[in-house]
Amino acid sequence: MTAAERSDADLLRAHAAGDAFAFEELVRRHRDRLWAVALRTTRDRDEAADALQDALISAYKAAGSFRGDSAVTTWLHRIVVNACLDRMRRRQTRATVQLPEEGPHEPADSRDRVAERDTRMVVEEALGQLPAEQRAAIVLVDVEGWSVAETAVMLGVPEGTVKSRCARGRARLAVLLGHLRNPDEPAPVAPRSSGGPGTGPSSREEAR
Amino acid sequence: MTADERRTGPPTGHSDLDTLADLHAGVLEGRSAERVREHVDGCPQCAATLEALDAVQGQLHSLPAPAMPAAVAARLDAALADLRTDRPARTGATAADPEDELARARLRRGRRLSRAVVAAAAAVVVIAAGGAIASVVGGGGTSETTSGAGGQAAGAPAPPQSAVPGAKSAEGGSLANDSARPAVPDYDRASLRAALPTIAAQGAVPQATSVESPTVRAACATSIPGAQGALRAAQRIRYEGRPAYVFVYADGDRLTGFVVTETCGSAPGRPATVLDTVS
Repeated sequence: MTAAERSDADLLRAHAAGDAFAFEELVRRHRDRLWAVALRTTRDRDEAADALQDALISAYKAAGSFRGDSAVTTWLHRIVVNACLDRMRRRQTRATVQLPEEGPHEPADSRDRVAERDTRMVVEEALGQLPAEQRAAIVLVDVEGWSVAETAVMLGVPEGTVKSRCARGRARLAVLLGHLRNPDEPAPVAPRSSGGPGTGPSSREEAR
Repeated sequence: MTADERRTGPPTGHSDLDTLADLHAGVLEGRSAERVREHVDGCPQCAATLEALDAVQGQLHSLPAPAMPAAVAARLDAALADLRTDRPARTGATAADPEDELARARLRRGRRLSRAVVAAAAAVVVIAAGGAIASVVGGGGTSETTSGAGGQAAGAPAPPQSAVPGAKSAEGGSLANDSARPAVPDYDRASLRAALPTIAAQGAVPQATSVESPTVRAACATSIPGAQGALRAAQRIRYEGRPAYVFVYADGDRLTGFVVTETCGSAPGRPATVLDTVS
């Protein structure tokens, strides 16, 4: 009904047709997610900000060439992820880890809260140890929840490549996060301590 | 089956982690997938590995979205606003009506002034956010030097979080600085109607940073009752002597200007008070 309810595709078309504000509205809708992807891909706030800005400027100029065979969000993500990976390739920057924690100030409260935050930091740091392209696939599929097909378009690779990057990345993370032992280490001997009476079959424990 | 495992897995007889991760991610197909799955069904250790991969996915999925720092948001807004103001107007540029020609000449003059204002306003936002380069703009200078300062600041490392509220107040406070700004065009009903095509062609003339803020503008634009079509321009004007904004919408060929009170720009969330509708 009003201008605010236009779809993403409407906004992009309107932008290409000369609407002065459509692009900014489009960006406003998606920039938080784009930021999250840029930050997690580059692992560096300044790099992420530069990449996002470069990407949005290219998107602004390239809007006329958007053919609509993917969703506008997919197209935007593709441009942003490419800008991030390009920058990282060019600069070969080794990530300084400085992720989230600047969100709303959580009071220094319950132990659970602290533990939860610590766990997140551990996961973020583990993510940072993956190679950039593996990490981008994991961020898009597992963190952001895009489908393999959408991610393949965003990364400009076949779906099979997305799947195997995800497979490699998850395997590595499972070890880094302590779910699995390093496969290069010698086989285990001691089983984990018992999960308590009435829990799963003993075979679970033997498995470790 | 056991022989197959020995071929694909490590000496323990289990599938290796990569193979299981491939199965888990759907990389394996047909026979090879079947073979690994059959093994996993009877092997608690491999089943536990698949569970571990599920757990990893769960942890990744529950990571909170990092908020975009306000300084980054301000920088993006400024970059996009720059693009917009540099963009050649596409509407009305081919009209050959002499009256239009006059109006355009008038607007070209206004536009040059307003460019300087944009640069200055962008610099103000950056200064407020960054603080560090205040002296550059304090020296005044031409629009080139101020916009250069803005560009430089944009490339600098993110300013400290504590500076962020300053960025907001610079944005919201623009109305108070009005007296220092170049004259805002004054319209009455007839002259505004005549100027609608040129205003629309001009897009945004950022005579006020409040209308420049996409957030504020969106809040204002969406609160205009009866607005239809595509927002073409938002400009600060005076309407019959009083400070106002005009939002120009294009619905097909029809342009409509909604004149709203200046509070629309300073109080996001409040419905716009429409002073007049001109089309």
